[in-house]
Amino acid sequence: MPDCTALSIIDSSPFVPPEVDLGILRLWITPTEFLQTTHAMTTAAWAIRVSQTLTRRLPDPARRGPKIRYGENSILMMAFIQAAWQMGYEMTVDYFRTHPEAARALQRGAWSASANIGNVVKRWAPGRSGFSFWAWSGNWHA
Amino acid sequence: MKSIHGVDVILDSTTQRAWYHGDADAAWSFPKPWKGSTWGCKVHTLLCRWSELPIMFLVTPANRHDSPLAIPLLSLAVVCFGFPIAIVRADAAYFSYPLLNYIHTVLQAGFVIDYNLRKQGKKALATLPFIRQWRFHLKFRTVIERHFAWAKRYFGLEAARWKGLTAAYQHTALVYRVILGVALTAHRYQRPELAGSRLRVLAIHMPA
Repeated sequence: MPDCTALSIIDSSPFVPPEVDLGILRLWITPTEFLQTTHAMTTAAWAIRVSQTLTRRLPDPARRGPKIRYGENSILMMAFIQAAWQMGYEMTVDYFRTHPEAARALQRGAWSASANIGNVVKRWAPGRSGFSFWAWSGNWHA
Repeated sequence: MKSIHGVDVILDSTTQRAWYHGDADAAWSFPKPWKGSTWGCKVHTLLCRWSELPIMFLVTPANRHDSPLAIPLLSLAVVCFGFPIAIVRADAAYFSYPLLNYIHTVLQAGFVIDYNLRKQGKKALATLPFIRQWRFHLKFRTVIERHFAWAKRYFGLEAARWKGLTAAYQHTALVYRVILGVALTAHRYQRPELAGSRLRVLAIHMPA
């Protein structure tokens, strides 16, 4: 019976859901793509420059340890990713520690020792110029 | 591409709850019958009506009135970005003659600002033509209420865990930066219908 189509709808695995291209519904870009798409490095550098122009820059505090390795715009972009993905600080640090390409996207060339990113110290000091995140790779409690 | 035109703008504010009870820069907002009072800050926002994206914002303690912040917001938007503002929409809290004069003479723009009839006591009654016009002109202002709801629900505008007005400024700037970044990304990927959807643009469930 060529007109009968009953056999054609019988599948060998009827419980397997059909494949749906989820790209139609969503983009789901990664933090690296998000930083590159929105030109986060350029806007972060501009924001730091403007904030330091409008407000008086306080002198750097006296501290011990090696020199500061991460720039303020890198820390600002890290806060940007933290706000975009609504992650906690530890989750953000863990993500960048396990994804070196994302860490490199924060600042090209300055994240060679991305394994030390877990030592980034966040100090919240409202009232200071710009975004009050400082980062360094030493032991803060030493 | 639906970009920020800055021609038709909307003014409004929303409260932002403080995380600490001992926050020196926080204050109790004026209680509303449907909401009550809120301890925290107030985010005054200037929104582009067509793109539904924020243009400028200011943060004050929650007990401040809305209207004194309107002129600085509009001035900053014009000076910083050069937007040709043609229409300013706002609710009855912004009905003040200095603001109306500023919009009319300095910006040379029109305004659609709600007027509270109770300012005239019980002498003035809302007539049917007044109600008809009120409903027609003020229905466009709901865009900013939707924006606040989305910013709080999906972008974490009220999820600040910091103390102080500077921290509130930084948190609000980051949240609005994320809103603009999501919209920009959606447009860059030729998907403008996703411009307001953070959950569909960002890979929320990231692989380990």
